[in-house]
Amino acid sequence: MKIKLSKNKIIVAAVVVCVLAAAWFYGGNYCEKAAEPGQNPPAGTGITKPGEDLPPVTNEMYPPGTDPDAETGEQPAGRETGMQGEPGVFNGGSSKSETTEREAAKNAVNHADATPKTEGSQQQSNPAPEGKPAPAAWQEVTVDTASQLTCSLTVRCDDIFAHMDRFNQDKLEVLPPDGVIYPCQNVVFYEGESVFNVLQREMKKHKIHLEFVLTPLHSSHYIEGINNIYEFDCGELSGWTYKVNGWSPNYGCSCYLLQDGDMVEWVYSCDLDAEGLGGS
Amino acid sequence: MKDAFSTFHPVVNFTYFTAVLLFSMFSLHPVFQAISLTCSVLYFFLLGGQRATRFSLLYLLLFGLFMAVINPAFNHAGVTILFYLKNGNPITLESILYGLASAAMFMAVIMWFSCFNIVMTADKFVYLFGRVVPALALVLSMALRFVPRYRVQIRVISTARQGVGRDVTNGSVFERARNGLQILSMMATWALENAIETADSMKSRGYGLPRRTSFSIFRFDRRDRAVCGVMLLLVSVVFAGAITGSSTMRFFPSLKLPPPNVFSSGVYCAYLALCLLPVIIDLLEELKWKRIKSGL
Repeated sequence: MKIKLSKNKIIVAAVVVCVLAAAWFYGGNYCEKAAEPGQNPPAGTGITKPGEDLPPVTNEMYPPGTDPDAETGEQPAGRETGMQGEPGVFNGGSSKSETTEREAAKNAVNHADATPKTEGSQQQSNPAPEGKPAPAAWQEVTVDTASQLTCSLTVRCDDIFAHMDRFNQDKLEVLPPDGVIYPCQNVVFYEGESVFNVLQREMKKHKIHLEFVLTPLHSSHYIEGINNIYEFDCGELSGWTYKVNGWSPNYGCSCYLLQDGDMVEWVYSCDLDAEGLGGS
Repeated sequence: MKDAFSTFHPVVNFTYFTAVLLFSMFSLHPVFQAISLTCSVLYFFLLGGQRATRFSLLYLLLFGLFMAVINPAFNHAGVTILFYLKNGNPITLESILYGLASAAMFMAVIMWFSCFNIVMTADKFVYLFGRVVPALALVLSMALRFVPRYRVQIRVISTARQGVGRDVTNGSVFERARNGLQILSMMATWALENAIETADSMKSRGYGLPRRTSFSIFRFDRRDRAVCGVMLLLVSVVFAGAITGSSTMRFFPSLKLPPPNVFSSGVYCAYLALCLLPVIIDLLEELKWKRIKSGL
């Protein structure tokens, strides 16, 4: 049958094109919509294209006028080393520009690049800065239950209060009023255990909901949700991140073996690149 | 019993099934689901009889059970933790119920589609869409007839092969396999050739040409108009209910039903009437027939 170009077909084609164009303009530009002048920078700038130079991260990440350390800086010294020592997981992990933002965000949250096997990474994952432990192969570590050590653990999500407009309204009932899901307290762990082991045990003990998934690519567990507050519940760049002694490791939580007296914080971040990832 | 709803105009049939299918797909409210599932099974029973219903219900129940188990195995959201899996993730009440709800939705949709396939025959389909999208309507009606036709033809070939001792029931395991494969290859050849022949034959009759008229026995008469009116009224009530949120419920993080009120109970009644519409029509027709017969 010959294909005739009738009026109807042209109209149908035009309608299809219009719908696609509308969909394209409507979705996908989340980050630009979310960015308000003077507040958080558009997340798009966080993803550096392969050709761009990385070093002036500080300028790129934070618009003039906002002090990056003012928001979350528990230990400015630790942050500082991080900033200079390595350009940040986000940049290293997603050097291919095809990587979608969502994917990149997910990669970067709390499992980052433990093993630099990501297809997209042309450069090696950045090593941990000096004075910080390198990612451990947790599968090979034997836990010594004889030696009990202590560390402190906090789980909080107060960052959501700054972005209530984006927050999933259904989850309001599980959002604690002060943003603290698990108040800071000392917990016992055994030698050879990772941040993930401690979190899992404590959450189970206190009947707090926790969902995670093992990602073999990064050989670490990825925390999807704590207390029913999940990744992406507060915008496309939201998710759970962790810090040990104020430093956000650039690898997964199963690969961080704890030392006695470490301070572990689990923080829900609504703007991943602005808070957790700029090498902080 | 002859189905009276099938004798209505194709537009009525098609609109009805579209509406019911869409409502079944998008409503997770237990009342909506119960109504949709029972009515679809009931109507399928009227259409297909006891054996067909039992057969499809059995398979659907198995599949639904599978879906209900699969969901909590991978989805761990929800505030009511029942127990923990071996890998450490929680099994929650909410995810189990969500699995059950989606299984029920799936079953209802499949049942409605089974009814749709019986009621919307190829001639109705081509009548509806033959003008607007001729090629697509032809392809669709051929695709819908594909499986039943294939089954008939495979039986024909198999019987013929049996006569010369080359069927899947003859010979050793290897010979059987080879015979089976040969039958399959014949089927493929036949199907391709048949499709081309059908297309050629339709073309030679001028199918899809602009000025061509075609005979059809469908007439949109008074009873179609009445049923159409009732249907549209019910659909708009249910649609209003769906927009105000009484057709669905929240599963995560905790179960939450929309608060019941007068309007939502009206919506449920409208939905029940909508889903039972073909059954009611069938029953009315039956009653009328009985009355006429006793009057003779």
